[in-house]
Amino acid sequence: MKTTTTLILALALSLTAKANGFEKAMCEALSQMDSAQTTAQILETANTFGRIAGTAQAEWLPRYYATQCYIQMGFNSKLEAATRDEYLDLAQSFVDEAMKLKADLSEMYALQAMLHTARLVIDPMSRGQQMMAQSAKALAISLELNPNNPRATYLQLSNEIGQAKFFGKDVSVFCPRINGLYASWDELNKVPDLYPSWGKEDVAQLRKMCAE
Amino acid sequence: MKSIVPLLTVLALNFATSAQTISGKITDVQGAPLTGCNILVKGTFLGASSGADGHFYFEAQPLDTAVVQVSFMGFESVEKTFFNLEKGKNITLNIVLRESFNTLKAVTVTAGRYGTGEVSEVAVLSSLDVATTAGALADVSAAMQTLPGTIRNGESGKLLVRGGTANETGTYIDGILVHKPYTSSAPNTAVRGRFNPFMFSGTAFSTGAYSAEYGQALSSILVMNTNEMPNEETLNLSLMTVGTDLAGTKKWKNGAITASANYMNLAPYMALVPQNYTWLQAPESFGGAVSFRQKTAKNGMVKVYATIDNASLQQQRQNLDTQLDENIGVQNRNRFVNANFKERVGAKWVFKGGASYTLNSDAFATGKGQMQERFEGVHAKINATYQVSERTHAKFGSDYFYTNFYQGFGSAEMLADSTVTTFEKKHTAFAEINHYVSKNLVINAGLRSEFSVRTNAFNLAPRLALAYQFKNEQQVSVAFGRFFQDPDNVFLVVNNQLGAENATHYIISYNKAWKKRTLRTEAYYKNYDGLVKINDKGIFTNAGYGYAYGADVFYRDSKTIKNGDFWVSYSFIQTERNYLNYNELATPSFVNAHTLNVVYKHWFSALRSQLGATLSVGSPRPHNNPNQSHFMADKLPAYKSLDLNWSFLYRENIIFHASISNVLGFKNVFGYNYSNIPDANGVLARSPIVPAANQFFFVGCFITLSKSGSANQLDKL
Repeated sequence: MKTTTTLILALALSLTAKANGFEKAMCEALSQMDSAQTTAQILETANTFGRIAGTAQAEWLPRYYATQCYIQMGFNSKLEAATRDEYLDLAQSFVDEAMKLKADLSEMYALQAMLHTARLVIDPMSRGQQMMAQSAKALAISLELNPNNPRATYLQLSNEIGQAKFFGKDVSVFCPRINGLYASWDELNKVPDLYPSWGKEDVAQLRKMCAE
Repeated sequence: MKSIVPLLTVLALNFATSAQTISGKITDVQGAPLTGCNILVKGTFLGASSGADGHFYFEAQPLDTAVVQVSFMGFESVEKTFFNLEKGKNITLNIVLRESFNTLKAVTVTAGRYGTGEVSEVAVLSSLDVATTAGALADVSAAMQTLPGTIRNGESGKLLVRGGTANETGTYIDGILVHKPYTSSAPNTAVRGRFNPFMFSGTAFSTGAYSAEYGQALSSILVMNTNEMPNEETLNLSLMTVGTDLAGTKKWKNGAITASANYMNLAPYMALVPQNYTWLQAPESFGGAVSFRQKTAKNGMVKVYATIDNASLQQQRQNLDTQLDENIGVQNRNRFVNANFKERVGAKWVFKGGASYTLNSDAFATGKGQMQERFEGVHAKINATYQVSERTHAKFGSDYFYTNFYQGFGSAEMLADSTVTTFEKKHTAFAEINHYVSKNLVINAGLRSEFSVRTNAFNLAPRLALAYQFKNEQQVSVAFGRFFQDPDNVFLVVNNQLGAENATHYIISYNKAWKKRTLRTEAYYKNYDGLVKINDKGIFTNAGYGYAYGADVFYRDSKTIKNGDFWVSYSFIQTERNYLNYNELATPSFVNAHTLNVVYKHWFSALRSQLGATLSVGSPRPHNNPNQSHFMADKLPAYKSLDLNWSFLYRENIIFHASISNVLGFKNVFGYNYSNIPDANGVLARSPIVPAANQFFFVGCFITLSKSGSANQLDKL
């Protein structure tokens, strides 16, 4: 998720004497998130957003990103299942807080869907059916709130492709939608500063299997 | 970028001269460093995470007062306040964090307990496990027979635990008693449990020393908890070689209802596959079930579960005395309703309660005449759990039991030549305290009292259990308890004043868990007293007694073999009784001294299939041959069986399943029937009691229809 925009923004704000403390902290945290590679770094980033969330009680954005970090931990297959579930519990507690605030609910529901998928991956045999249904439901709500949400569209595609792969179905049927999403990404992704804007690289990854 | 650099330097210099550093080290109570803790100055965005050595460091703008908060997942947060800070003075603080008390990670009593879901952390069998265990054919009690402490008797099909008879295990749904958990069958032809494992989200199986909340079971209890809310509306169709099943689920905002109907008929199957017995009417049954769930206003739930089942069969056997063929017909009508509720009141109280009603009638017809049995049972119960403190909770409650049993005999011409009845009302109360001395030590003590209207007597049954967990996921647990159970109704109709039989259990267990592997070992001693005995005058008394001791080992591993999951269970038991018509202490004929079960499941992702295999071996059971002078002198051949099953995920919502029991075709003998009339050589002739068929084949197709199209009965397999 390396973007130069956040770095420039951070620099610009740091030069402004009257920079808003919250925005400054968020920018620094976002650039920390960009460069986080190891598990320790991701957890540190999660902590950073956790601190911002603790002080900025009415803001949904730090909670969104803290959730995203913990979901990333939840997907880490090198960790024990119980630990992964604990991180996802933390992620869920941030989601629950954010949902009560003035948040972009479409983005929150998309993130919630990703959380359900992370739970599924930990134990697909026993959680498969239940978590798949919950993830699909959350994405349906997300798209109802904002049909143009590119992240929700991406996650929906990702879920469907995952399921098709499991059943050995041909995934090239998804290519038109993948290419379409990639082409219109920038148009769909016109969001305010600090808002979640990730996903184009993930769609690019999906495109790779279509190039064949 | 040239103009920016000097600006940055100025800012940096400004920052440096007025900065104040906050640093230190975070450790746990043993002094080990904690990595990844979150340290923050409240009300600001300043803070840091602790590094690999527990150290942290960050710079802050000068503050007059600072409240520093340290938090970490799984630990109690700590806050430190600093007043009147000198400008520029650096703050050093070293913090020790204590683990927070979380009942999910604390020790739980495991002596004599196996559970899934909220009952215990030592997860053993989920509903998915039950259905994929080869040889169990999705019967909960059959799947339990692959666990240690159980004995498999092929001629009965029921669950026998640690030297106890099948009656000594009580079956409960949502905490309410199921009086008749098994289907009815001809004598020495196996029955099965009545319940579909997918109705249940958690199963707790106790091999002894169970909670004071339950009674009237000398050996063990099986507690099944019905599912909570379903995810979506579905229609499930099952097509099998033995019959069909249709179930539909509808849900609304806070509730759901599932209704199902099933029809089984083994006639087509028995026409194809040769049977050891002659069937004049192959087993046939039809029934239905309804399951209703509704969340109540606050945090509660009301559930109602009802089933109707009608079954019949007719077998032909040779009468050893007359050498003539006889017909045995069985007709069973079973009606069962269970309603229960759970409600949380305030922060500290949880109330649970419910009632069940069972009406079971069996009609047995032989050439000589008819026997009718009619059983009616009610169980009503109410419990309250009070959270005294974070570490202690108390549970108490009361039950009411009512049973009414009628047995009628008649010749073919005139029914009810003679009838006998018995009934009983019981009032019980119990209290139990569960206290966590620490996260690693828990004590559970309880007392149960039962009053019998029939004998006008009451009994007192203490229970005590303790568990201590130590390093590396190891745990030792001990349990003790006294248990009372009324004799079976067939004895009570003869002597209505028979008192309760009783047993005292002493259990010690050691468990260890690794990543995806579990080891359980347990040793026990049971003392039986007050068992039903028939003296030489034919009078029924409570003069029987006995003992049982043994050890079990259980090892489950879903890690070592990739995509494979297996468990090995070995039980050893020594037991003797002097009861019923025994003249001396002897090992009962339903006991295998050694039992070994190996269950294996493998997932082939390329084939989207799961293979299951179960190997069961039981050492020779004792057997009483009336031709021998010594009692229980003979031994039956050892029991051996290898069962296989295969599940194939054909499409997202279609699954095929096939299973074969006793693949290697071992000839198992479960006992002998003896003639009453000696033959020409003075020997009593006998015929072996064998399974209805040496091998059982099953093929089924399961289809799920739902709006999303992605639901399937994979959970069912």
